[in-house]
Amino acid sequence: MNMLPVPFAVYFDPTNQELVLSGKMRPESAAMIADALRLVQQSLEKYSGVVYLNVKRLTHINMTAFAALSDLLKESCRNRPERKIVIITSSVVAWSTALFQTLAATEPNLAIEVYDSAFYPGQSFVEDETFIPILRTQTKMTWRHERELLPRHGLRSGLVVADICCGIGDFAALVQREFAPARLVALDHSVRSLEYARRIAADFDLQGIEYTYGDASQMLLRDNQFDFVTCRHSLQIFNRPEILLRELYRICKPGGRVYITNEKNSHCLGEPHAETIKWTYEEVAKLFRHFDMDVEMGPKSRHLLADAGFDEIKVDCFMVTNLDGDPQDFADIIEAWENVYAGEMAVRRGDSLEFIRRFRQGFRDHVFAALHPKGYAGWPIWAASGRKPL
Amino acid sequence: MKEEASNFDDHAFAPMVSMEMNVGMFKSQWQFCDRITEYLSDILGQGHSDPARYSNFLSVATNELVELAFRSTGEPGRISFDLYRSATFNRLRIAFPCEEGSDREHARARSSERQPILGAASGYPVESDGTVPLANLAAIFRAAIRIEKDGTRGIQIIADFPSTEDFQ
Repeated sequence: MNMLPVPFAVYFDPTNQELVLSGKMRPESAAMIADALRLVQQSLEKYSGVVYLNVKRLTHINMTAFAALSDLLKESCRNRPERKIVIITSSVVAWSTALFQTLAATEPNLAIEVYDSAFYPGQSFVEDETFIPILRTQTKMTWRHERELLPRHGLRSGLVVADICCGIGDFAALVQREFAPARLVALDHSVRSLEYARRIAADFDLQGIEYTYGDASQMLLRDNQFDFVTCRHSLQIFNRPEILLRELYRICKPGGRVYITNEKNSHCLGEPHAETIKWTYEEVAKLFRHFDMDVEMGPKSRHLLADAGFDEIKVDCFMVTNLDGDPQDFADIIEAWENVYAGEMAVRRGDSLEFIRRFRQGFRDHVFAALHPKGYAGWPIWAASGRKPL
Repeated sequence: MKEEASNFDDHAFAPMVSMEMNVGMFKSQWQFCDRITEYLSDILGQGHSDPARYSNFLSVATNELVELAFRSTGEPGRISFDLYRSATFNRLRIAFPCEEGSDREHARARSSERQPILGAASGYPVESDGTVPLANLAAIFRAAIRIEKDGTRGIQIIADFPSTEDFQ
């Protein structure tokens, strides 16, 4: 049994005047966290205006640590009544807001703000409920390929599986039905997506999936408990994918595997109108980059997994095309992309009407290619997995 | 304390897990508090609509009680951790040998509902107004926590947590 203290981290970001506490703080005495307390005290003494104490990724605290932290905060509030302290909690960690609220109740210059959105830069774009049918269609089309690939990456029946960033839970439902895991945990940061996932599971009489509301970059799941961890189409929309990979690694058992899928949008293709389609998807990549997302990540999967400490890395690339089932499904996906990318993201970036017109044309040509009786339209995806070393 | 205890039908609780340890072993490493807490909390989370989150939620209160036992017991003997479940509550019971001086501290605590105060001598954090943060925890978790004598030289901490917490 590993009895080393579970780590926590504390640092001060002077740019945002933000103290960040994360991890698990369960010291036997306040002396054991003296360095952290000193940093909190020094930061509070040095800065004016508003100082933020970010505890949204503080997953555990004992009352020894809380009491020591409380004493510091209260003393600081009373010594500097003109300076405000804002504690940022997370709706994921269910005890956090209520516990820190006990401090706000006694100190007028201390306030609590609950963080329950913007877990990643593009969250508002992809969690629009109108997007749900398209997400289902996407999974239907990718599943045809992944169903065949997953066993090669180590998925088999009877494993303990986690699907991180499960969205509306359709992939988890397919895994539950087709691979009969011993246990399946499905985590997402969208309450509405999880509600939808639970409803679908109930409608389809799918039992046993444990849905959990969580922040993938600081999960409440314990270390080393899953044989197979999946994270699909999600690393590419986090601005710090290495943090997410670190968490996937942490919850994976030694000898278990982490499976990720990502795209390379600039390689979406079609005939006829190859040139306009190519131009539009190259612009899609730039547009996502503007919002701190990397939809060109697919081919980087091997590099990312290696840097995160995985070995025995496997990489596959498959092309979802208009020939996979009904071409209208493919066309529906492209139309949904056009609506979000050209209709919302480009507008929010401040693009000109002329740019948006040309940008839309590439999507429309892609739809044309998908539905043309002799046309071909493709969407490439990289599936990669790595083993956590024994 | 009898009034509080009478709020609960003890017979309605079915045992879920029972774990026993030598006190000397338990006291040998502070980290045992964390490991035992996580083990118990994982089990408490089972059956909830969001097991991971409910486990984490209860682990804060559970950990405090496990740490309270760690700080309170120094006697030779065994410490036991038991979980029970009823239709509406999850119950944690920690029973351990405790010297007589601590008994008196506990006796005072029993007179104060939801304040299982051990006092400064136990090393438990006590705030300047004389209350302990554990009282706040009981309110946050809507838990009923009580401390009772268990025979002549024993103490038991009993915490009942509602099983219907809704995080959605």
